[in-house]
Amino acid sequence: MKVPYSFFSKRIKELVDINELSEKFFQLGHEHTIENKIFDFELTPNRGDCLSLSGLLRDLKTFYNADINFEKNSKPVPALNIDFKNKAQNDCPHISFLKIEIEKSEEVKVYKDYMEKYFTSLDIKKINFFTDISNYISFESGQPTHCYDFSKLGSEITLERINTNNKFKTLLGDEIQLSGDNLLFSSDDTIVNLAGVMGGHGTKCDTRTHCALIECAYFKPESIIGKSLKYDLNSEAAHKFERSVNPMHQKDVLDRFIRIVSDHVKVKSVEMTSFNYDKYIETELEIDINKINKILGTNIDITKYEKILKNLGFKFKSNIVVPSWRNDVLSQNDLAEEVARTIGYDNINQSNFIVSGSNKCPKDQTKISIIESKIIDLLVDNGFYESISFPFNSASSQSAIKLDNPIDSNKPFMRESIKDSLTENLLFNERRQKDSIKFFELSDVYSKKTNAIEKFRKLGVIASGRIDDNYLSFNKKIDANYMQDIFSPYIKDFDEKIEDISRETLNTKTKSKILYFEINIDDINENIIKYESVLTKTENFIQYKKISEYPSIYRDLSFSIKDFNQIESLERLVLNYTNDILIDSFIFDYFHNKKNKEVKIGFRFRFQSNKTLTDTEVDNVINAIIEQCINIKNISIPGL
Amino acid sequence: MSSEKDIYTPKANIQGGAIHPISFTKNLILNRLISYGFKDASGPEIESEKFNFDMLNIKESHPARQMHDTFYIENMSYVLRTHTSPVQIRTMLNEKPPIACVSGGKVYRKDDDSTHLPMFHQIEGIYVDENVNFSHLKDLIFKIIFSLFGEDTKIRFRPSYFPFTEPSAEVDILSDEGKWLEVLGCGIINPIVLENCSIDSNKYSGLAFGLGIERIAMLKFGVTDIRDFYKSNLDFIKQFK
Repeated sequence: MKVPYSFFSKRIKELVDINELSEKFFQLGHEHTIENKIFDFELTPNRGDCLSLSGLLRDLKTFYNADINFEKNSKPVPALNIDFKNKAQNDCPHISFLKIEIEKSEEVKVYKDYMEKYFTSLDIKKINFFTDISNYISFESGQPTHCYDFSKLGSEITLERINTNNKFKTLLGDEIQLSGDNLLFSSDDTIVNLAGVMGGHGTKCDTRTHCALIECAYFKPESIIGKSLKYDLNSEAAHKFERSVNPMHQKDVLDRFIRIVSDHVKVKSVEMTSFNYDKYIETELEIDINKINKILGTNIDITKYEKILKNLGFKFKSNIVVPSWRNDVLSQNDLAEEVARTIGYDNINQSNFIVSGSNKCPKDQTKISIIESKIIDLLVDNGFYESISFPFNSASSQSAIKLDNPIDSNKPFMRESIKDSLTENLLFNERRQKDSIKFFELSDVYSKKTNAIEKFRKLGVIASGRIDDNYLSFNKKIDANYMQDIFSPYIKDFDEKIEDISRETLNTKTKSKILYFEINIDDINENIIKYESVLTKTENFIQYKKISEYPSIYRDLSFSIKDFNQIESLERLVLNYTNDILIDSFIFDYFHNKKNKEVKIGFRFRFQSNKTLTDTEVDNVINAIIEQCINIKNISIPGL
Repeated sequence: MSSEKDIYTPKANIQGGAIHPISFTKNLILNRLISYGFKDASGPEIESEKFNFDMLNIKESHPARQMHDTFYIENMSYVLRTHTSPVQIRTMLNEKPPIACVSGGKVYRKDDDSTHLPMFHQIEGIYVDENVNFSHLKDLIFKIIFSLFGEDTKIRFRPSYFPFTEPSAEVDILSDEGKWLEVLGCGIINPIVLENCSIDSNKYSGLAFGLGIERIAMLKFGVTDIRDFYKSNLDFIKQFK
């Protein structure tokens, strides 16, 4: 909801500046952004009462002497004789109608300042006289009203819940297909209004309308909720009714409507009537300052408590009477929140939080969690990376659990295995030129069994390509033996669990074997508990560097060394060399030729940037590395 | 020249792998909370509406319960939990106060855009005992935030709304760029929720808090696009070791 700062400053004389007001709104819990001195509020769903200028001003009265009086008609209004049947009194317990007729000849192009500024400051399009007032009143009071062109209505109006599949053309001209149960206004058996959401095309006001019937209702939130979304209608009225409007101000709003009309044109006649099917019962809560202090950990006295609540419209009688617009205040905890936000959450002192000794729960690792943590150590030590995948897939089976409303209609099932997710992840990385891929995922998976849901804790492991990026393993490919060596000591009958995933059905040109196994955590034997991790793991958050979407370029460089004392210097020089486009380097080849008394060392470099790299750019880095190394005694680059 | 015997051989560095940055963040936060005395609890990701909504005072008319926000499964028989709060409900039903528990795990909401994912991770905790109040909650939140972001961190509490806590707050931290960033939600457990779990709300009160793990991980690692966490891109994952 947008409100220009000037609308507040006009009604709060002591206001200092926009930043002060912004801070006060945050203190009250009204999150917002400010652009061009216009507040754009994102109000919490329990504060429907603040979805208006007057509602926000009312909340600000806790800090300021805000003027919340908006002039309204004070003259008696003759009763309107209308044939209205409310067959949905439970959904709409309070409703008022105003019939207002103006002189035909009058056309208003520029409104009075207070209303004109609403349209110009917020860049809102004017539609027609009555609809413009309706929109402005909704902004000012928070109460949506609907304007019918009286001449287009039939002889009676009925409100009822109807299960219908009729079509309905909205006042914006969109035709929607109604379905299921709807709360509808009809006139002479024609639907004229999707109640609380949007009126119909056939009875809408236009620039020629000189006699309008204004409907002003309180609909229960649960009667309106979901309808605008169901029919894809962008309805501010529905947004307000869903969060609840004041059930007791319909007549006042129509009196304000009369006043605004008469501020602009000559009124020929007005008639009004109200239907109240339910007696509004005020919410009363006990005056209990001790309880408030107990909830907040404060020491507020009753005078201050009373002042805070009275400023917010609460009345102190034998009990605290909650104002009709605050349908969110139902308990002592709600009152405590009113006090806390008025004082300011930041101004409430801290008290030392401690889970007392007798309550304190020691770190109680279950056997399963130890096993999980140890198998993760084993996987990480052997170069496996953890993957986390969404659990939705396309694989249907008798036991697969189906989503009623999937995000992707091609993936309506919950996975029963991690295999597809890990295979997808492996192929994704192969397409990004990765030639050594080792992933694991630990996840709960679910299956249907008769009428119950079964949960399994599973570990999936996938691997393909080179074993590792070092000279001992560079030419070795991951195969079943490699997997056996790592996992068979800890997983019973491992050879039966490991599988070779065929590439035939996969969209890939890579030839390396894909090894996969998936087990229940229970299948890991207790030997794993004795496993001691060999790698030191970081305990800090490492600053992430944005990865490039551009392809990598690889280059190899081989050195021949006759003076063996220089091997370490060469290694250090090359592997410590840094450059913005040099992402990674390692020794992929090491060979000691005893006969020739020389050592050959091959380095592999990976280059990548946030653009497509040219050969020249890569060559420049390689040449710089060569330049540094070639000065080392008895080192040469074969072929250079 | 060195002899052939003591010739230097480069180390064949074993390239270790790494756990996922979300697991790293989750484990780190959970371990800190456990060190404060909270007990780690877990529960199913497929939940009944009763545990996911009703017991938490989320009324049937609440927008969160609609099909556009919550994943329903098997003809509306169950939901994919939208938060880890049902774990606390299960704990409160099974244990007598004092109760101090935390739970971390996957949660699901029907979102899929550049800033929201259909699956993400939360850590939530509760403490129920006699005389637990908002000032204790504030102290705990300060402890959590200082341990994650440092003791110089500027913190702001804002009133907010969650059906299961009252009063409720959202907590922001001030970034180096001078922007307030939302990091967690918290509040005093709504007495209705305690009563739903057969805990006498006249005798006991409780505090609750919840953090989005992706949110914390993004702030701590400097990741700007939440979707990067779930692409399983080795170039991305390899950075977190």
